[in-house]
Amino acid sequence: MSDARRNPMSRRGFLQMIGGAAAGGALASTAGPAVRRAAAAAPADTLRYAFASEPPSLDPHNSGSIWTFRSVIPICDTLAFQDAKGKVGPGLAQSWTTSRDGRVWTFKLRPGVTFHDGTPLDAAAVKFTLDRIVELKNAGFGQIAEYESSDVVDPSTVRVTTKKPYAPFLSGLAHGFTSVVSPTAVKKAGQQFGMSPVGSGPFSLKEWVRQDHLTLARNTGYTWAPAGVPASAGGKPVPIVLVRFIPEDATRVGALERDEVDVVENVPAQEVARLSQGGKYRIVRTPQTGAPWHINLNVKKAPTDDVKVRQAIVHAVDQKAIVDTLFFGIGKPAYGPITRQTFGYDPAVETMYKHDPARAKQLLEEAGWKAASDGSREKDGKKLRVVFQVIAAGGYDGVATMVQTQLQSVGIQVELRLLERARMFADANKGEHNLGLKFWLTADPEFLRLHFRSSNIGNWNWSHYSEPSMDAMLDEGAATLDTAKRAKIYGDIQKRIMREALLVPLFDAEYVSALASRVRGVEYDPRTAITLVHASVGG
Amino acid sequence: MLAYLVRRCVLSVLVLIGAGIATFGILHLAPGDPAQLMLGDVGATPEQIEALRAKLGLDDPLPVQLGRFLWRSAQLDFGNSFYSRQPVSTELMRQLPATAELALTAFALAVLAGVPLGVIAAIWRGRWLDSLATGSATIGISMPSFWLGLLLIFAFAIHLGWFPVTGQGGLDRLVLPAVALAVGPGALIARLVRSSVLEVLRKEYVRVAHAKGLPPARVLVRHVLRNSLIPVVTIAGLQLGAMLSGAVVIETVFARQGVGRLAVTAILAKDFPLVQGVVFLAAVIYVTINTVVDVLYALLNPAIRLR
Repeated sequence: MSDARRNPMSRRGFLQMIGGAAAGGALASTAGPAVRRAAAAAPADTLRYAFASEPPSLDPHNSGSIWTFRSVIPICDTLAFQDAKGKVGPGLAQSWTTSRDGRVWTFKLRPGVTFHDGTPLDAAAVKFTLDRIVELKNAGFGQIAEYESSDVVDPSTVRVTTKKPYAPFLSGLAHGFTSVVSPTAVKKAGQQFGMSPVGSGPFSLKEWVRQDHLTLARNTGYTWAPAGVPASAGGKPVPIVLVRFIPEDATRVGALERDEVDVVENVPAQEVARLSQGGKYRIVRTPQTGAPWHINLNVKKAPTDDVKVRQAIVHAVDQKAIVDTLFFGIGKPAYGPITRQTFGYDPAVETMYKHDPARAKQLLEEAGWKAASDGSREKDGKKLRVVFQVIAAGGYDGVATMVQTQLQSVGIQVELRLLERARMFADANKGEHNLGLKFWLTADPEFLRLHFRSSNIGNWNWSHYSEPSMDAMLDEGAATLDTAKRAKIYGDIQKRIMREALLVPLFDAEYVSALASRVRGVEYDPRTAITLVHASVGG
Repeated sequence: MLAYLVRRCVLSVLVLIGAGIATFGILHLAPGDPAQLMLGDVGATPEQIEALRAKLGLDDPLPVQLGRFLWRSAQLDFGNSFYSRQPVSTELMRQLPATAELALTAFALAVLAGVPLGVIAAIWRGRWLDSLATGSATIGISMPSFWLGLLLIFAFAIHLGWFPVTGQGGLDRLVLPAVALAVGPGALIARLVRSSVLEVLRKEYVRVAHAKGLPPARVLVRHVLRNSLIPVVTIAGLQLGAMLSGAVVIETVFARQGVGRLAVTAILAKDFPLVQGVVFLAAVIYVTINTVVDVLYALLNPAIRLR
């Protein structure tokens, strides 16, 4: 011990030293300016909104995230506007004409619109935007894939040419990812534009504290709204919208109940019934456009290369049980490759298959898979076994487990592979699965080209389906401008996909939000875009 | 001592390079394409994915990418996040204060609760106080922090309304996450202190001190604690490192800013530059804390020489 005494350090109590240093550090950092002040202490007329996730960027042309999509809508305007029913009407473009061959679109712009930085929103800005989307080749490009060029006719007229006639073009121009942005601001901000977007929308971005919140301030120069937006329900429009990011479901709902936020997104299905009681909250359930949750069946890998096996799988799955058990009745059982809200939905698919385990067993027998004594099935000494790949998050795993049980009850053994998202995409692109679970959120059935055209094998064609006649139908669907003809083409495509059992439809998902009862004027569309123009709180 | 520190610094740099190469390898060998993920929510054509890969520099041969990564890292340039296009260092420095605030507070709580609890349990070994302390420590260690966090939210935020549910800024928003984060390490420290104190209590110099007629409190503080806390410093240091390099789950549950939450998002999205930056930061924190702990050893107990 005598040695220790010579050491000045050891004269202090260790406890004092460790504890004191740590506590001192903590207090210092609490008081430090680097830690941002609480966003929750907002004025009473602020709309406090909770997202489940943070947008990675607010550059509409340089992100593929659904959170970017939702976040930029109040900030930027689009040429066309899609309303809550999915109908596309005027936006920044007041009117338009199409050339006889369907390739040239002439848009007449709304006069007097300026960006948040004061520069005019004119034909040059529209041309700049469209060219930028194509140059950046991010998700916005997918919305206007057949774009060729645009010309400024005069300051309020822009003429756009597509490579081929392209039916979903208007719907693409109504998408947040093709929002018109200020060319001046883009040139000034460069790489930083994603942190400081400048559009012409009803709100401008005031502040973005990463991993905490966005503050949107009302744009007082915004004096219009697209015709598709329902008229204001009264009340003073909110001056500020605060968007917070709360990833954990229970915490997000807790923040609503504790009055820290006014609106929460992605309400877990099991909370819906409880929150609906008592009149404190309004639940908005928005059915989505695009694809229902579905399982792609890989036609290139045995045993799902046999159409009878695929049909048996469709018959064996009980969609209603999945919706009722796992989602407490939120969502609708699906029977085809696109949801009921999507353009061209053909109800004929609803009668093509029904949940029928006996029929499934019969089809498997016909395909040569004979029942063994242990409940499995065999052919030529091999067990009937499928590989089912699923993302191990976001509720996919629960659905997959239930499907696994349903398939096993007709004798199909299921090897469930729960994978991380990136791995799932890589393996599904390579075709290492028999079954792959996904869903798709978009406005137009044109996306079926991505899922079933031969050129997209190795990408989103998880059925690994390659038929020239199907490719032709999908191309025709994209190029046909006449809506009645177009609907018929997509009807045929849907029936064909189901006839060949390229996928197992599961259910049409609903996007569920809970709003404090004092919140008004918040509108949702079937792509889960949020319109806040007329939002108000209180009163 | 100086020579020791110099050698430690050289070794630390080697550790950092090793961590960098390992991270690079794991990120690039694991399946999954960042470009497809970035375009993922709405779907993309193969041409779009190829174009984006080229833009991100992901189409170069791996050795070229590794060389570029190491050369830039040497200049502390980790590039820009794939998604936000912000410099990785900016992203990290924005999140570090919130994590430091949470981690240091939780660490203080863990030590301030864990050490006395362990000492009490050791002194009254086998009595009810010991059972109580040891029992609660066992529960504390086995309780997952995310579950404890949710429990605290339900009880103290939603039900009783004493604290806010989410966010940061102000002591009231720090209490619940700090407690949730402190319980596990605090319990671990308590158990360690208990066994360490018990061991020292059996030493002859303690008996001698008692025999000399020193007051029990003095024996405890000057002879027992001083010696028994040495192994605790190591564990406490490692715990602090773990908390500082990312209170991953707690930050997510309480929707706080922080390095941990950033890391999770980056890993799931395969945001290579950001992941590499977070790992580098974590490695620096660990290496620094380890060095500090080793130096503390020598200061606390001169019987230990640093060579």
